[in-house]
Amino acid sequence: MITSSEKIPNASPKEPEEISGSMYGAANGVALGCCFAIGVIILVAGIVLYPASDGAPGTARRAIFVGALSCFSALVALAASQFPRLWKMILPPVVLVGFLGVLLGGVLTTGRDLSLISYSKRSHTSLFVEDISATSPSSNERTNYRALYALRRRIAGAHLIIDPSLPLDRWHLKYRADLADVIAADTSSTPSPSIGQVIAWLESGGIELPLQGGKRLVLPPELTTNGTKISTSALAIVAVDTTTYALVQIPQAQP
Amino acid sequence: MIVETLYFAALAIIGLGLFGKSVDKTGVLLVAGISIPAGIGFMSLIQLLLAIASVKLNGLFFWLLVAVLTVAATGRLVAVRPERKTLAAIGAMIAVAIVGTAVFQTAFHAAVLSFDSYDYLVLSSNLYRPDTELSSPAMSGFLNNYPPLLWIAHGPARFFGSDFLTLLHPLVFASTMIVSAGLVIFGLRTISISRWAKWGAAIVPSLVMVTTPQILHHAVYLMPNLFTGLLLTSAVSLLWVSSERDGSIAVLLPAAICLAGVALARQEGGLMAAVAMVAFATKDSVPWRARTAFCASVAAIVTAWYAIMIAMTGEASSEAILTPMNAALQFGCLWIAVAASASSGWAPLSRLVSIGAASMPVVLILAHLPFLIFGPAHAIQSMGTFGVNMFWGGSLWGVWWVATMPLLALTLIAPSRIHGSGMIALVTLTIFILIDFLGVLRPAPYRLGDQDSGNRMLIHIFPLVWAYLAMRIVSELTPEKLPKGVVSA
Repeated sequence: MITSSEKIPNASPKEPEEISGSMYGAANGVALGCCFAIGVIILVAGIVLYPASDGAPGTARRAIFVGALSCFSALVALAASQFPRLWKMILPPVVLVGFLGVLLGGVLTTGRDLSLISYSKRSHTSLFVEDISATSPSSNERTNYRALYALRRRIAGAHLIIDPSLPLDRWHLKYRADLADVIAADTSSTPSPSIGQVIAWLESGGIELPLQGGKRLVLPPELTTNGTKISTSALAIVAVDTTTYALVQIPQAQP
Repeated sequence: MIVETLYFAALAIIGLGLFGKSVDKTGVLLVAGISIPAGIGFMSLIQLLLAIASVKLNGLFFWLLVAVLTVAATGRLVAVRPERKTLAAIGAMIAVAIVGTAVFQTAFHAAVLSFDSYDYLVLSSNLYRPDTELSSPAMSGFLNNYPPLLWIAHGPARFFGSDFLTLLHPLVFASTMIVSAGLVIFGLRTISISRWAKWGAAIVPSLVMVTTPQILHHAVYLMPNLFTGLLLTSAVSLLWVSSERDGSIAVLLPAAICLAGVALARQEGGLMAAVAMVAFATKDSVPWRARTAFCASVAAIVTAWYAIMIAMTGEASSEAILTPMNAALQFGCLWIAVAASASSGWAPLSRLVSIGAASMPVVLILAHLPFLIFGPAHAIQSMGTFGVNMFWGGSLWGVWWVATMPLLALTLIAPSRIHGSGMIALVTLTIFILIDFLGVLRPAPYRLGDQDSGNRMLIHIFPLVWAYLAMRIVSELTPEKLPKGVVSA
């Protein structure tokens, strides 16, 4: 007759018999005490937060749940430490059922939690102007940069001039100078389309790119097809009115 | 999609080749899961080197490079002659992961890009643009804020006619599940429990991850967090494998690639890599020369990048995260880890290194004190938000941080039966406190929500936490499986 700790191949350094005799020392008691205390703190925090957690679905409930669960598990662990049989007979099914319960909770709440992110507002499947146009939120701090980057790719090789009234933050001006050859240049001499023309562009296949602060940049139909040859070597973003900018082709690059 | 699938298959072979003769000793799941990030990491390091040297590859030379590396990796594998059965199982696992991901992306075209993703993509699209250098403003302006690994990894998308690699992030997710399962199986290999219990434990981290909104989000979100988590899990797993009696120090090569990847994937990655290196420095079962060489190689790669980056960007802007001071702090920590590893070879200092490693969490907790005394509002707000984010619905962690608390109580009561698993506990606990401390240290405290930096950094340790909990709980609660004729004492 052999015992489990003697002859099992690759037996671990500490077998259960060894553990059951010496595992529940003062250090573990302190650790459990800390765990219990943390559980109580979280439980109380959850109860206090509960009335104020309307905007954060499930948060206070989770805090109450975790606090109660921590206290309970600390007590169970403490009881199990006094009665080793409890450790092997009661705890495994309790932990398994607990895990499956939490897993079920996870399955049921994952969809709801993911819906808290608005994928349609954040996501772009590519950097093409069409996708930017379809999905870009107008309130984002980098909306302008995104639109201009996509535009820069579309008109690669051509010079770009940007009207000074188009809001570009300092960071972009300092590091993203490649977006435009001339930023904040004087575009007053560049002919600007009327708002009626811009609306006509949109009706005949032009693209509207959202900009910061509810503004927009409208691209004419001839520049919206991917791979379109740019007939001139320079383009400009000019102001049409206080909320609309338009991309226009100009005969030659301005300095 | 087919070309991209072939590219990732080639990267997996390259990653597999890095294992060399340790393929048989590491375990099928671990090797299969780690081959992919190791291959991506290795290829990215080569591309980074080329970018620093201002070498612009065109499509032909890019594929030539991939082919040469794949052939070299295959040659190495042929030379070491791993067991055919093992190799077939690893190959099948990798194939399932890559093809499964490709099918998923063909069906769903899932991708989430935020404004930060855009900046990564601007960098990656500039990587092989003929008229752009690393030092030109179009790139150098980003380098202080966007670490290189992710945008370098997406760089080859240019040769596939797309903006980014659509398979990269879902594949990282799949690899994370495989590596976590492999880690649990490795941890339980010496525990005599039933096969059902062992495999049940192995799928626990995967079940947790597929029901965690934050992880699912990052499986298609163009950000480096889940990739960092995979690299950290891979590196720590391999360091553990190397330190076991039946381990092999040959795994230190892919481990070094993965740990260097951690440092190059996130701005604070150097600190996390240093934590893993210090924990590894205490592993006496690995020759101290091997430990030191490992740590020094990681530190050298990261230091070289920081030095080049600082030289290119010059005086950092006020918005920069990786300022010269922050970079110096990080490579200082990395070289301290190297010194710890080197000095652990000398018996009188070895004990000191062990004490130092074990006290890392305490030191970080104590480091909070000055901030709590001199700037309590900022410190308390950051720490409170960090804690609340773990439970708040909008932070996308679902119920899983909640569930760690009671399980933690159970792991505290019993000493571990899993030899060497303390390293995982030390690394995860230290990094957890480090993440909290970074919020206290930085100018702006952490904020509520899934996009908060501290909240996203929790992804880095999440797979490790659940792999550790699964192996600990199952090893302690599952009845032993005894051979026939053996009775429990």
